[in-house]
Amino acid sequence: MHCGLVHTKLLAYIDGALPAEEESEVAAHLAGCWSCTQELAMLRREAGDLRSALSVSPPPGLEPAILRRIGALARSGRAENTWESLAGHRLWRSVVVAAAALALAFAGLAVISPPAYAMVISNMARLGAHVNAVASQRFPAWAEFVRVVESLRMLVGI
Amino acid sequence: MASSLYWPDVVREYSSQLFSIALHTLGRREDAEDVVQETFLRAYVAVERRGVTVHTSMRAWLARIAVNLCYDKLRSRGRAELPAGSGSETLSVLDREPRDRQRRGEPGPEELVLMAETADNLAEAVQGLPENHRVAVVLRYGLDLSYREIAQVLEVPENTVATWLRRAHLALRRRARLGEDARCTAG
Repeated sequence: MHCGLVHTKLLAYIDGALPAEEESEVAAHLAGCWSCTQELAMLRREAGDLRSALSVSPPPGLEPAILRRIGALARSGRAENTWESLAGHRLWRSVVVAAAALALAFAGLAVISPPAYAMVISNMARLGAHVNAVASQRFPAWAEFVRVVESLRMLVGI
Repeated sequence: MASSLYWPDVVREYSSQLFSIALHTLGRREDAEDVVQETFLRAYVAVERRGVTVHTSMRAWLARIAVNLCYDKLRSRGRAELPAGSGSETLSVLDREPRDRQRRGEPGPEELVLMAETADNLAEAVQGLPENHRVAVVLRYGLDLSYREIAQVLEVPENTVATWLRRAHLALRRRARLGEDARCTAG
């Protein structure tokens, strides 16, 4: 390896960035070359000077400012997560959408055709009574619950 | 998603080095402060909100964010290169770490002024390097990243990093010689 080529590799040699084979070749050359050894020393000196020259102290207020902003982000993140866990739940969202659609359909029917609306309501009441009768037969606790609700309803006068 | 990172420690450990990158790349303290703050905020959002896992070293990853932000700033300023010496008003001896002065064995006041002048001149000379060379130098000597890490940050091959650093050394040496010649002529 001649001096010109070694000079191009010396910086990487100092920084330990040469492949092992090239590193050995450069080391072998340096052992017998005064000029390249001088260049190596100069590069080391320059590297040291650059490290000193580039080392700066950040302003004292910088770290607290960063931590304040991260703290604010963390707080807003927690709020977002809480909202997401409520509003983002698939089942909860489906129930709300279904209820809204049903309410809208009933309101629309009541406006467009009051007789049809009355028929649907009466059928639903009949269906409700039937479901109630079946459930009361099969589940005595349900019958007891309905009886308590009825008593309370009569008490309040609804 | 919560990570195992304790952010006050991360900020304490890297803010100084990131400030060095930003200051020497951009040459303005206010811009450098903006970049460092934005770097940590982006890192926080990436890790804590998007669940990003840092596969490289934290230092190299943060450096990559900071360098990209620096490039954005340079582009928004409408100039790809900083003119030589433009950062002289921003890089003063007062910014230098005391430990770097102590490292040289408690110099006397005159020696200290001379050294500070040399360091200031050198920092100013770094500002005059082409953008890629300047960033490579700052990552190598300001942040002590390896060639491999610099290559990852700048998305170039390691050989290119070696070439940029070597050219930067030669350019800085030429400039130092020019400065000496000018002083000799003036004297």
